[in-house]
Amino acid sequence: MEATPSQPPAAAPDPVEERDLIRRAQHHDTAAYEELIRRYHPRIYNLLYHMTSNREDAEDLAQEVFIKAYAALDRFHGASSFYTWIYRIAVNHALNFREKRRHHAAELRLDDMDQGVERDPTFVELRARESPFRDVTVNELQKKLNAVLQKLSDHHRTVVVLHDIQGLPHHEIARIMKISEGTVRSRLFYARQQLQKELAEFAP
Amino acid sequence: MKCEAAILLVGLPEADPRAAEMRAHIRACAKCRAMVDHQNNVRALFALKRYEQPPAGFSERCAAQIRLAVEQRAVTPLTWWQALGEHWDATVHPARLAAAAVLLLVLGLYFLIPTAERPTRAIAAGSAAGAPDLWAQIHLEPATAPATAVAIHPEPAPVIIAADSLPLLMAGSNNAPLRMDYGPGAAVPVKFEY
Repeated sequence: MEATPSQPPAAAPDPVEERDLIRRAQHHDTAAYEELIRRYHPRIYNLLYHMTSNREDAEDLAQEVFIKAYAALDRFHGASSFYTWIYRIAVNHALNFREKRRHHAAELRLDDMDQGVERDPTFVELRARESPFRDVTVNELQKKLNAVLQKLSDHHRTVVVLHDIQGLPHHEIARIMKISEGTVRSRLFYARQQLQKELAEFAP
Repeated sequence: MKCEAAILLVGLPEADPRAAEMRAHIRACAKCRAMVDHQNNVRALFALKRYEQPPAGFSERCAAQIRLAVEQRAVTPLTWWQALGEHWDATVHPARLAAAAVLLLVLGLYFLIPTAERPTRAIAAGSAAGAPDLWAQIHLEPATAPATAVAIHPEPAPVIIAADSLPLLMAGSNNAPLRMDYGPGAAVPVKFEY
């Protein structure tokens, strides 16, 4: 019933190899930890970027998340996957960051979206429609999407970023956010309702 | 299945027993189908944001900075309060911290404020030290109803009638107690303390 994301999430790493990396990192093998960073950094960065809509903030937060995770690695016992564990740290860190910034003026930076978007089948199909979308530039689209995303509450934005942008399944989001799958679906529904009102010109 | 229930089940895995019923409802309900289409349009738009990638070389730069921070940490280990702070930040939600703080505050109020005002400890301590026993000076009598009061004080007494003379306060003093009228033949003496 839901549309399939045009770009599937990255394939899960080999769990045996990952357990070995984690064990070595827990024994202060920085090379092993760097390998974990290499694997997860792009996705953690993207998560933080979409939560903040700001590249510099996302870079700083991503570094802080990996440093915090390294400090807390002794307490990782494998009850969840490393991927869920570090996502949870990143989500909490982003929410804390936004809470601290709540009273500051919203600072939205316009970043360049990779031009590969123009070849995306969804983008091409939306462009082909008789709608204002036909004339919109990639930068205008990005600016609009970032602006409406920032209008959502933190919890609604988080599920949209994790599901619609990052392509995580409901049960994975439920584990990361420590909520039920029903709550994930409900938050997604209400968030998209709000987004649809804001984006009526693009997503009729 | 109702529309509200069906729409919130969109995205259920195939294996879920409710999935078939949800799909059947949405196939049959034009309103729900339109809503699902809107939801999918929004989802497709936001899926385009996947193309936003970190700047070139950022991963390497970030890894180098993290390595530096990790090495510095190895040289200067965290103090216990820094470690505690990091643990909380990584694993404890701020709302839980706030709830814990409120609980501590409530417990603090419960144990501290009554202690300051509780008479029993002071009296017990005073009695033990030879001070007058305040409890011994306190005796309670059962409350008496007006009818009983008439039986106890059967003698006739001046009665103040509210319609004739206003205020009880103007009609007597502590030395000459007044009587309050409860009806024919029913009056009790009253005394005002100022």
